Amino acid sequence: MTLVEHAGISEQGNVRAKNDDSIGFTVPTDPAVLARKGCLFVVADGVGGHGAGDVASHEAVKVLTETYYASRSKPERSLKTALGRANIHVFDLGVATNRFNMSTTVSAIAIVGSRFFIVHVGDSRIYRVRQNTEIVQLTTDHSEVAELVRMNILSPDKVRNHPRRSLITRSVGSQTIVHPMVASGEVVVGDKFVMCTDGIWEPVQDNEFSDIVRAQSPQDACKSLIGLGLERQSTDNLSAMVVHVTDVAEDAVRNSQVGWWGKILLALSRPN
Amino acid sequence: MDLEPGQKIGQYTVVKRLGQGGMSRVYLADDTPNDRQVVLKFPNQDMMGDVATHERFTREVKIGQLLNHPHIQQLYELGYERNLEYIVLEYVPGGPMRFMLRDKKHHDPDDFAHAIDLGLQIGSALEYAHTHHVAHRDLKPENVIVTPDNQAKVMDFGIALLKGARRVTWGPLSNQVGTPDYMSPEQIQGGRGDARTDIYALGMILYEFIAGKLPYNGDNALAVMNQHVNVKAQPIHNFRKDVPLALEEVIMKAIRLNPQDRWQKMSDMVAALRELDKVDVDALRTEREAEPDGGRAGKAASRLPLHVNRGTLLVAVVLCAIIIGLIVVAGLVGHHHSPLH
Repeated sequence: MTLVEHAGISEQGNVRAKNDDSIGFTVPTDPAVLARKGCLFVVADGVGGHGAGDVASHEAVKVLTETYYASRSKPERSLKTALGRANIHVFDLGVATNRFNMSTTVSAIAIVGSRFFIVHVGDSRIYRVRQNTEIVQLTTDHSEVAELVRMNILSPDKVRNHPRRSLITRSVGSQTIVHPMVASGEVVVGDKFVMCTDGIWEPVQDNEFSDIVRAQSPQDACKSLIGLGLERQSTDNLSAMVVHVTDVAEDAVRNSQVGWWGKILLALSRPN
Repeated sequence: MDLEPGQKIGQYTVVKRLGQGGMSRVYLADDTPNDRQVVLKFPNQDMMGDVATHERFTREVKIGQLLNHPHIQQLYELGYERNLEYIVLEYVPGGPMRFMLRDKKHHDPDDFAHAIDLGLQIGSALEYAHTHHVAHRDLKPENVIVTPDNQAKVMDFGIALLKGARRVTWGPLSNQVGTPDYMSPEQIQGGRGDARTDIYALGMILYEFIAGKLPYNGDNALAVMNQHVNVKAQPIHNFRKDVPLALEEVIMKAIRLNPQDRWQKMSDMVAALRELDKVDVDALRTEREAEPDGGRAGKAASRLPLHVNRGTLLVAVVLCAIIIGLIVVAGLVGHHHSPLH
């Protein structure tokens, strides 16, 4: 069985009047569900102020999680469907409440067996810290400044202080169709995933994420990250989640090493 | 918190609400003890919770109070009302320069004298601020009020100072939501900006005033920013043939891509505007024509991303291989069966 330790904290911070961030984590107790759909971790940063941002992020996390586990499809497809459903839900909510600027970033990761699957829109981030390798940002920021970097107009070290850094190019709930970034990869024992909104990644450098997460338990790491954000006078809400993979299911490992021809042969050769 | 006409805030009596931006609510009020009208500005409470932020705000307001100039909207004081902070500013009748740009007659022959006049007023305000080590860094027509008798006053100076401080940009509620039409290349590239940033913005405003349009256009903020960084501005006479050459060259020097190539001090630009007949037009034109095109213009344009997923690619390749295989086989078989004479 794939096992994780996890923790998550979401705080209003010292400057904003309320918390527009939302986080969600689900580790199914039913082993069949755990094997088929794994655990799901979601972070969302709402946009729209005036009571729209917090609703958007909260609803997106809720609907995405519910739809993911209710879907009969495989994890990757379920995630995409779930995001699409969350998107329409937030969009419709904005229309119904007359809040047309209601939207949110969403970054979700499902850890299933020995694979992870990501679906992502906006500028919240998911990083992976693996033993003996550099920290890797798994998501691409959907922001104006990220585009400026891609266009070679802005150097990456100038992103965090740029006056237009909070302008995102894609969000959940702003249109009826959303184009998320999707990613997947393998998970090994010892992998740590960090998810956070920009209230954390702006004041905290990548190497600091790495140092903190490697050295501390998920709970302590979250507290340290939030603490660092507050200390550096983050003017935003602060949310962080840390997931530590402590064991990876053997079957899952074996299966993932076999190509699809192999799987057909295995299936054919298995006694019914 | 919404204030009603007649409500008293400290010594001030609210007359009416003037507007509500993303950052603050603004009211007109009577300052009876001083026999004048003032503007009360309440920053949105979303931003004002932290002690450190508040301290910085207070310090920056004190600096704002130091700036005392006929063409800068005066900041009188910082007030407190029921734990809410507000700023008391000089009331300036009239509208933002944006309205004037929108409503003015296209290519009016009076434009040149008018532009010089505005340039001298705004320029002198900035020159004064620069000697106090303060750059505006967000100059644009929305931040300049023009009174009915054509006096220009630069506003939001105090707020702009806050933006210079490291962590006090106002996040999603900042006034950086529109297209960055007056933003200098160095700011776009993440630099803090200095006096030459204000010179660039003033040049843009005067360019727009005279030519009727900005040198860089687009609905897409990224396209506009790319042009500011990579594309040399077209000379004004491409859009307006009757522009006096000296005035054109003074403005064009203000908006050079590289800050090193611009007027280095606002006082130099103001002096040039004041005495256009002393400007060495030929030298400036030669300098302008020698300015490199931006070098990366065109290369910064994005490659079209191909959204082809691996599965589809694999199927396509396999199909092609099969088709080619079939053709080869058909060719061989056909060859075999060709009649032998």
